[in-house]
Amino acid sequence: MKPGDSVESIVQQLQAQATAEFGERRAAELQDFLEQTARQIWEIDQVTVHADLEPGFYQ
Amino acid sequence: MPGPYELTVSEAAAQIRQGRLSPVALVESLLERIDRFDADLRAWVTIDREDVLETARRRETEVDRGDPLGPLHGVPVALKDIFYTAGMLTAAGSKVYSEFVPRFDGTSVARIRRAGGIILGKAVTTEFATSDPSPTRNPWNREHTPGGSSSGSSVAVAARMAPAATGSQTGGSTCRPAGYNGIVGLKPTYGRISRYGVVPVSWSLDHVGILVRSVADAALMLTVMSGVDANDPGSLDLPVPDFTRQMVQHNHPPRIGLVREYYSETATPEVWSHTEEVAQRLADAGAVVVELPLPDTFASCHSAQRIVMHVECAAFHERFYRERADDYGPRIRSAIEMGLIIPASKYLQAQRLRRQLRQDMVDMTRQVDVVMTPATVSPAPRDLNTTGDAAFQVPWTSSGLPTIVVPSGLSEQGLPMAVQFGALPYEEGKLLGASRWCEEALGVSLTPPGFD
Repeated sequence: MKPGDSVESIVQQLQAQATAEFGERRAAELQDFLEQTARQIWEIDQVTVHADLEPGFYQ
Repeated sequence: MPGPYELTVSEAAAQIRQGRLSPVALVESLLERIDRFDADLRAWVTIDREDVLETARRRETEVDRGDPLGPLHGVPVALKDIFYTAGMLTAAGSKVYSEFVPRFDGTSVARIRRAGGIILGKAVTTEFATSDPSPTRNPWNREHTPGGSSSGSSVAVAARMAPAATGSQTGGSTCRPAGYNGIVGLKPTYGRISRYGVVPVSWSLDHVGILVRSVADAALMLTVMSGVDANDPGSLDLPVPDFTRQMVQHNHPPRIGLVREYYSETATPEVWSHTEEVAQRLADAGAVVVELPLPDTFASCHSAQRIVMHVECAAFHERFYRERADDYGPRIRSAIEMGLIIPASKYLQAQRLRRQLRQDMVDMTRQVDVVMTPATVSPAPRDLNTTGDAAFQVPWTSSGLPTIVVPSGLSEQGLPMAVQFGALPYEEGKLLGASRWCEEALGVSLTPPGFD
């Protein structure tokens, strides 16, 4: 999964991962969640952060 | 004449200290309320009546003997059923934890006991404090959600079955149900109250919260529950001030930053119009109200919060999930599954955004004493399949800044409406003082119909 990927591409990659992890039937049941998660991943990938910005964890 | 169940934490503690109120009479009054209303409201999971009454009798003896008394002496407190209680079931609203009996008290629970508080019982939580709704009903209207995940805690306080309750907040689980039920909800700075001995949702997002019926009570409870804890790696290593004293010092007309952007578009027209009206009333009473723009990082903060929450939730639950997936409710199960497949690099990107968001929120909030927003997108939705929308809490939870929700009126449908105030990290004293001033200026105290 790369920063420039489209939402559709992220959905497909998550679907493949969900099928491998939970089986085809469960992956199909998760479709709405996969699409929501793909949008969330796409959204955070749109933000360019400074190279020296470290993660927050315990804020 | 109102019964002892009507008393706030501060009132009850003062009367007990002065020998004018018996802790036993207070507990009996609350147990009678629970007997009367809980079949309908379903706010409680576990109450050990014998133990509660025995503790109340002991507290009474301590008063009679003239022993040194803690600030909560004899005051009953409800605990959300994710707070560890030694020897008492802590089921977290879950089949997976249905037989879990901790061997020790959570740090905040121990502090409540040490201050003389009485653990009244365990209040209903949504499953593992996430978003599958609980059976608890909203005392204002049974067809509307009470919110979550601190649903039992909020309803117990609103319906006068407890003067105070603990909550938690990973997204909006303290301040949102406080708004839906017409009470005060406080989410302190991240790390102010130890999370040790609280079943986690997401370690880096979880906050312990406080549900009460006045800002003064929030200050008192915060003083009791705060403090560094070596068992919580996110715990703040700061001295605990007397927040009641700080609240009094800061109880003057504040400089308020009203955030129009995002909040005015996302709130229902009724909620936004109410918020503007509240801002005008506060300005008329002497507050300075200015508008504040949001930082750019705000736009992605909801997505970053979901990613972090799902991954950390999955990390905690994976072992149980692999063995007992069918014992999870549909929403938490899906959240765990999403967390298991989100790449680590995206989780870390989300954490980097949170760090930037925190700095940007600090820069925004520094311009004023407190930032004001509506507490919730709408009054409690008429839908028992949801716990409502946490959109207005998430930016504050994700950045770790303290917030408080204060009741501000009723909707056209007769449901509670509220405003939320946010302040700089570690400045709960200023937050409490400003919100106390606003609480007094608005003069709104809400009781659900039939519960006075």
